[in-house]
Amino acid sequence: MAGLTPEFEAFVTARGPALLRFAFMLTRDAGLAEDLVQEALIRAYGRWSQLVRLDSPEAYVRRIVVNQMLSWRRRRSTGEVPGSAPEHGTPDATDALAERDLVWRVIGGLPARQRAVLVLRYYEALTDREIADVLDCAEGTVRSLAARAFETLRRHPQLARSGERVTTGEN
Amino acid sequence: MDGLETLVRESLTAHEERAPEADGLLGAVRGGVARRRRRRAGALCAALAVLVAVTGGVVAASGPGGSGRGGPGQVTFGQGGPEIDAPPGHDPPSLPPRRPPADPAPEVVRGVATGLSNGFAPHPPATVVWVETTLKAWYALEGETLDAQDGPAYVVELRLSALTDCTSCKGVNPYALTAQFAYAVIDINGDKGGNGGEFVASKTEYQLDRIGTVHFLGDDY
Repeated sequence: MAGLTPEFEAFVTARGPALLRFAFMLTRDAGLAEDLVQEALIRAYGRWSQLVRLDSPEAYVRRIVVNQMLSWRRRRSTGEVPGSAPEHGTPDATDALAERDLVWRVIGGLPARQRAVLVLRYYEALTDREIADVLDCAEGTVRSLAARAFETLRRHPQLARSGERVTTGEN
Repeated sequence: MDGLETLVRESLTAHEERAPEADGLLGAVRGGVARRRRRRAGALCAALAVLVAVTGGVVAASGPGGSGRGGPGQVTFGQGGPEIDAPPGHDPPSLPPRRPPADPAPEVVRGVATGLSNGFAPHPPATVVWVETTLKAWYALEGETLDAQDGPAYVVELRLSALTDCTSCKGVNPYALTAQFAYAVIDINGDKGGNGGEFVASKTEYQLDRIGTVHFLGDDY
């Protein structure tokens, strides 16, 4: 069995759970999330002596995870359709839990880059600048991807009603 | 933050409990790193067999007083040719001093190209390129750190026409290597005057233009 450096083992132990949660948010698939994080960490270990000098090696690993996810998604379609959640006879949108579940499902049907932007912005709390770095694109592209994601969310009949309810008074 | 943004954030957070546990993560990473090292070590054995078989003869043939240069048939690509920028978002490894692009391929490069080409079956039409670089730059390109002393090196790349089995590898290893790109790294100042080296069989291409001027080899290797 290969011996990893103590610093790297400490990093995996400390940040592994967060990386797995992040990968799961991106993929919605526990097995795929594990594969993504394992591969990203194995790659990161190859250049750990350089990464350890960075302010946040985790940001680098996260970037690998996102790029792999985008690459893998290009090669296989999930068949998910945006807004594929049933419109009738399902959870009452006034129920908070059902509402979150509906949002979860609609986000799951978004194109991978749009979903990545939402996860990075609202789960990882990154700024648009930081998201642009991760996705290797311009900040304007990040805003555009987010806008299109929200357009899809707002078009969903049940979410449109939910949005109106929640955003009362907002423009 | 408007209502939908709040819903998105709450939805993501609410579902994090479905994420996989990290219990086996460290062990899986250890295993992955170990497998990667074994692949490299196995490939190195195969490569050394190829290199010793091929370059030993070549070095002897070029011998003292030999030019060490290839014949006029080689096509060297690069003078006035395309200079390919490194892709954005990557830190290029330290670039070695570059050999003037018009130089033909050294004998050792041609010999290794022959050995590599013969080592894969079905024997495909292949394009061979090579760069003069440093061991450190090659390791950096692989995303690894050189533990040994740095020195000049040639990297020879065989671009196979499709995923192809390494027949030489089968003789050395209990498993076959399948690759679309084969690399031989020749330590120019190695113990045996160029025979020492490394072999990597890969399904993806390394960007050799990031560590030196890429030269195309002609068909006479």
